[in-house]
Amino acid sequence: MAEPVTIFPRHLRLPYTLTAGAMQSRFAKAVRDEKKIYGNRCTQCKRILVPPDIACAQCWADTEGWIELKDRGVVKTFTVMRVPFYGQKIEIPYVIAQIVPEGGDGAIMHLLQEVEAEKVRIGMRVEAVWTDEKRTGSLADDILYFRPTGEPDMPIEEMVERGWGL
Amino acid sequence: MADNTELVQRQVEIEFPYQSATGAAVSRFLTALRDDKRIWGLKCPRCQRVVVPAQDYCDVCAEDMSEWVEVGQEGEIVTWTVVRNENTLYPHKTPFAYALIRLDGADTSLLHTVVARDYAAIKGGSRVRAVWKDERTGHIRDIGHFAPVGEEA
Amino acid sequence: MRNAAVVGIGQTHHVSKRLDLNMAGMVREAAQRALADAQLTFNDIDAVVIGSAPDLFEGVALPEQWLAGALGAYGKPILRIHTMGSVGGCTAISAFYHVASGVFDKVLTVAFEKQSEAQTTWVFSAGSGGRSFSSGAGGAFAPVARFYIDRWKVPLEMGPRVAVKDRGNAMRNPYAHWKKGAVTLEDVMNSPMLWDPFRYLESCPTSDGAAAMVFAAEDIAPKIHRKPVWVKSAVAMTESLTMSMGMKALPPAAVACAKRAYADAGITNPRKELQMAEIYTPFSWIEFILYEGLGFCDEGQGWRLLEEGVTEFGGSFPVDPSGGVISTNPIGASGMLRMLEAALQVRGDAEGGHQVPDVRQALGHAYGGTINYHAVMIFSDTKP
Repeated sequence: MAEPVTIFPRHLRLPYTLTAGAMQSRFAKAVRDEKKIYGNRCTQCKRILVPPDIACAQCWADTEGWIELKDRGVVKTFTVMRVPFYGQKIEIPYVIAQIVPEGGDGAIMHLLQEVEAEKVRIGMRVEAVWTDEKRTGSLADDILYFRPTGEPDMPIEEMVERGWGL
Repeated sequence: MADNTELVQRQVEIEFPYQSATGAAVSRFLTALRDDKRIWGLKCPRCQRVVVPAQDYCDVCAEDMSEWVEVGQEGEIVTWTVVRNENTLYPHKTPFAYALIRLDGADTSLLHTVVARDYAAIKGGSRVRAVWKDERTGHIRDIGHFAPVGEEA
Repeated sequence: MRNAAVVGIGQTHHVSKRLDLNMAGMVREAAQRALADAQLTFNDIDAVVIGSAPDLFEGVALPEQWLAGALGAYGKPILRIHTMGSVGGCTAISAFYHVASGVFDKVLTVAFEKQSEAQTTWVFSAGSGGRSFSSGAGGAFAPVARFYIDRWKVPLEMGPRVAVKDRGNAMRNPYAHWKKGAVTLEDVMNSPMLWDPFRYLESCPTSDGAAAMVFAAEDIAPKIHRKPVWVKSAVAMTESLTMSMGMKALPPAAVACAKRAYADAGITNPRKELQMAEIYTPFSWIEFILYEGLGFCDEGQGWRLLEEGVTEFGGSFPVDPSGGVISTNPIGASGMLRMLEAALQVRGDAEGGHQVPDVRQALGHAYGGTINYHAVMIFSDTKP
C-alpha cells in the first residue's frame, strides 16, 4: 500500500495586464525613449517625489511639475541579499540599495554592482549603467545596475538634514 | 499634465507553488479515491448529515466528525451549468458541465464535472456515475468526470 | 462605547510544519483553546473576526469562506481583516470594537498562518513580473536597520543581543517555535549573514500557527472569566508604503499610534505605568526602532535600553518575554500573539516560567508592510 495522501500540491499561474496610468506612462516612456528619470513636487512640503506620484503620501497634497533628475545619486541605505529562495532571479550575494537621484528627495530601489558587497556604504555616490538592449520603460530592466563614481560620500547628517530618513 | 496618447501596459504572469496539508479527514478521503476508487463521507453527530467530501468538522454545526460512511458511486444532479466557450484552464474540452451531484447516501452535494452525449437531456435529478481515471494521484480529479448512467464507457 | 475585556485566550504550539492539520483544523484548534479558556462553546459566540496574511501566502482565495465552518460562524457575521504583518493586531482590535460598539456581546477572533505551505519569500517578491529586487521581509527591513545603525553609531553587537534576549526568553514559553535552547552572543555573531545586517539567528523563523481570543462586554465579562483583562486602548495607524517617501528609521505611524494609545489609557510615562510589552520584532535591530517609536525612550536611545538590561526578562521593563517574533512567526498570527501574550501577562497566566511578576498593565504591538502599519493595545487588570 502506498503512503497516505497528506499533501495537496498546487501551482497557481495568474496572468495580468497591468496599466501604468497616465503619469507612470509618461515616466516609463522617458525611461524607455530618453534614458531619463523624472520626479514631481509636492505642492505643500515641496519635496521632489521619485518616482513621481499623483499625491504626496505624507502631506496628502497634490503634486506639480515634471522635474528631470540625474541618473546618478546617493546610496541612502542598502542591504546585501545572501538568502536563496524559490524563484530568485539574481545570483546571490547581491547588493540592493535605495538610491536618491540627484535633484530628488525620494529613493528608487536598484542593484549596486562593480563594488564588493563589504565596501558598500551609506552615502556612497553612484551612477546608473543603462542597458544597450531594447528598453521596456521599467527602471528595473532598463538600468542594469548602479555603480560607485568614486566621489566623496555624502555624510549621513546631511541626509537627515535633507529629510530623507528619520 | 501627462501625455495620454500612449498608456503603458505590461503583461505579467505570476506563479506560485503550494504544498497544502490535507488534514486527517481529507487525507483519508483522497487516499481512498486513489487506492480503492471508493468515496467516503463523514456523518455529523448532531445534524446527522453525511458530508462529502469528508472534512474534519461539520461546517454547519461546528462539531467534530468521526463516523465514516461510504457513499455511492452514483448520484443525482442537483444543479448544473453547461460550459461551451474554450479555455485552457478548463479540465475538459467543451462542451462539458459543472454540476453539483448528490451521491447516494450523502446529504451534501459534490462539485464535479459531467461529460455527456446530450447536454439538453440533463435535468435536475438526472442520474450520473463516477468515471475513474486509470492513473490516480490522490486528487478529487482521480474521478475524471461523472457521466449519465449508461454512458460511462 | 462601552468597556470590553478579554475572557478567552488560545494558541497552537507553533512549529515549522503543521502537517497533521489543514488551515481549517489549525484555526479551529486555537479557537477551541480560547473557548475552553472562557468555558464557552461556538454556540455562545455572536460574531467572528478572522485575520490572515495575503491570500497568496497560502494560495487559498477568500479563506474566511472556508474557515467560517470550522469556527462555528455559519449564520453569524464573519469579517476578515487584512493589514499585512500587523493583521493579527488589527484583527484583535476589530474584535474588541465589535464588542465595545455595543453591537455584539461575545466575539471570537482568530488569526493564523501556514507558512510551510507556500514559498513566502517568493510571494513577497512576486507580483512585479520582470526583474524584481524585492527580497522578502528581511530585504525590506534590513536597509532600515542599516540606516539606524549608521545614524546613531550603534555598537554592532547590539542587534545580535536582541536575538540572545528573545531566543533565551523563548525557552520559557512552551508555545514558542524556537526550541533549540538559549543562544550566546557568539552563537548569533557566528550564524550566517542573511540580509546584511540580519544574521540567521537574528531573523524570524517561518512558522505554522494560530492565535485566538474571546472578547466580552463589560457586564458579562466578569461572569465568564474569573479575571477579565480589560482593554484600555486599541489603536491602529498607517503611513505611506511608497518608495517615494523613503523608509524611516522612526516610523511616524508607530509614534502616532502609541501617542493615541497612551492618551486613551491616561498613560504619561509608559515605562512606569506599564510593567511589560510584547512588540513586533521579526528582525533584531527593528526592536530598538520600535522602543523609540513606542515612546519607551528618546530617539537614538533605543539600543541603550537593552544595553542597560532594562528590557531583559529580569529587567525593570521586560520586552517580549514570550520570545517574540524572532522565536515564533506564523505571520498572520504574530500580531495577535503579541496582544494575547500581553493579556496573559496581565492575567498572570503566562505559562512555563515566562510570567513577569506583578503585571497590572501591559502593551501589545504589531506592525506590518514596510513598518508602515501599526497596531497597539493596552491591557489592564482594572476596568477603565
